[in-house]
Amino acid sequence: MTSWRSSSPWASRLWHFLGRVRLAVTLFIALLSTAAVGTLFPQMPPQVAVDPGARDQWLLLIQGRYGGLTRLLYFLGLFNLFRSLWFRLPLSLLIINAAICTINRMRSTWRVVFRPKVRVSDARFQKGPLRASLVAKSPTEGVEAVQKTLLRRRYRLSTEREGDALYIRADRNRMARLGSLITHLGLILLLISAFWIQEMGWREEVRLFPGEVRDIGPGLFRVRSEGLQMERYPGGQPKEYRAYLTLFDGERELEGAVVRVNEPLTWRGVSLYLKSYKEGSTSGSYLVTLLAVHDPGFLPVISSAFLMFGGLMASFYLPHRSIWVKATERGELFLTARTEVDKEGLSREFGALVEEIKERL
Amino acid sequence: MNMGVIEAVFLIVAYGFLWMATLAYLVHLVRGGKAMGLLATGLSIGSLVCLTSGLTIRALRAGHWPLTTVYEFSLVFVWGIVALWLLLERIIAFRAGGAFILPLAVAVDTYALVLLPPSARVVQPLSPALRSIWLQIHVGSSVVAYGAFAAACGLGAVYLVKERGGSIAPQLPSLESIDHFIWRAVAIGFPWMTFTILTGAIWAQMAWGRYWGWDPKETWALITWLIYTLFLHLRLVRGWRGRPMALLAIFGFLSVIFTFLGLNWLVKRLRVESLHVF
Repeated sequence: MTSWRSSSPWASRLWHFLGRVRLAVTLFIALLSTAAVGTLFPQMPPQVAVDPGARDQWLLLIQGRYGGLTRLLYFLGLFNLFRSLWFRLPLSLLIINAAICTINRMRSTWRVVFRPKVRVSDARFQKGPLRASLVAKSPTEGVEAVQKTLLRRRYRLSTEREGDALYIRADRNRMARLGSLITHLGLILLLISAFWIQEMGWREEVRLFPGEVRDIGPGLFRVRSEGLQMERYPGGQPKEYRAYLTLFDGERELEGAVVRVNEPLTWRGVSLYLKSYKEGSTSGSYLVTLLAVHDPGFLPVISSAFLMFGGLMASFYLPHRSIWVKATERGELFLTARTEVDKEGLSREFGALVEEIKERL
Repeated sequence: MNMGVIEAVFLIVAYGFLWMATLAYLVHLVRGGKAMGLLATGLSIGSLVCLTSGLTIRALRAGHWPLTTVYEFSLVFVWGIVALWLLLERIIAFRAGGAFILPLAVAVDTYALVLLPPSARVVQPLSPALRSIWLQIHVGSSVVAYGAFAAACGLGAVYLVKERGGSIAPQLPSLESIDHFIWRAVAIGFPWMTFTILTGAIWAQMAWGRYWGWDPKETWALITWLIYTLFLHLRLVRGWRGRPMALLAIFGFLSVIFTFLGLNWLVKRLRVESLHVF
């Protein structure tokens, strides 16, 4: 395909190795075992992992359970598994693997979807796993019966004449063949946006007593807490927490806003989440903890999630099926069929379809 | 009459129908006969209707969807298993398979109605964290996925029984057909499992400012997803068929059950925290 690969056998071998489905299978198993191990050990919260002081304190806390092994287990990355190489390496390889597989398949899928072959070799009609042959009284009658049957079953037809034979190709859900490509593309974009683009953003915790003003981001805007209100159900359980805020641009007061759990406030690309609260010295005065997040990856994440789900639905709920027919001048009809996913389903439909054509003859 | 009592009556009748449907499927499996098969399907539909009514009354009573406690999720899980099986039964033309799948629904329903303490059945108000449209989307899609995976697991068992031979083996479809049925069930569930994880991550970002926190529930949902991803790649790309696929379908569902129930135990034992209620 590309010249650098033919000129360098080493690169070509690497490309081949990284794009093997067998590698993908190995990586799935590696990732799921690592993840399972990760749920057997307590995992360091992210803010602890980056702060050496907090980290030592955290390790001291769990020393009671793991004793002298604590340091060793920490060194092996078992308390930090999802940020360790044990997990990051197979995950990165999987992204590369998915990308190469997608590129390798792109061309053949593209051809099937946009330049489908109407005419296939006689061998396919004679040896294909699904095939049938019929004889009509006249060629036109045969072709008509085939076309009517296929159209009734929502197939789309294209025809081509070669010598004295007429070839018909029928497809259902041909576009769905793009599903697998779209799913993999979505997955790659999703991981890139969630891990990489998100890293380009930032997050910080902001603690506010009522009336207190704090800077958000490096001088993006300022926010003042006007207090927290709690709504309770008749039974006493909390129903809703509302933090009232006032936003400032420099010294200029902009507007008041409310932040609820599940309803962050987004302003100038920064979202403010209500994280927690603590009752202050006087009743009704609360220390509110907000989480300020700037996530440039949100739109890419949503779009790639959408791609991924759409691709899967196309692949599994609208499977592509193709049927080829060759009609000769003598009125003979040869049929064969093919699908990538639901072979048994197609085989059942193919049988029914041949019966229907017979009835029309 | 008290609405709570009507709800309980519906749920108990649904439970009774479920047992009868299971027995009818078993008789149909052993003795054959179209009438018994139709009766089994009819009883399953009856059970589903009663369960739906019970859950609807509960939702009206609570003022929110019944998706927020272990008890409620168990009930909608049963709903998912029965509903997805009834759907699959129409697609694959192997009615007696219900004898292997409905017992899973009976087990989950027994857990909800008999094993859980009565305090777990009390209607709980919606906590601030769950007051979101994403709750219905996220949990709803998981019900579809889990229901389909339960069917795949039951069919995996059918495969192993057929392979071992024995007295009922001749009544079962060919190994090739069963293998195909397992794949159909996984293919129905997989997009929704993916959707569940994706919406969970998006919801987490919108509610707490992070997509993924390696909460044990999240991790195990990912493990479940990886098992079925493995299944699909082995089958579709590597062309695997037969026993390993049946075993993977069973393992996948064990992972579902562990995500659902085993984790509560793990969370308690290891004192790791989980945001998920169930």
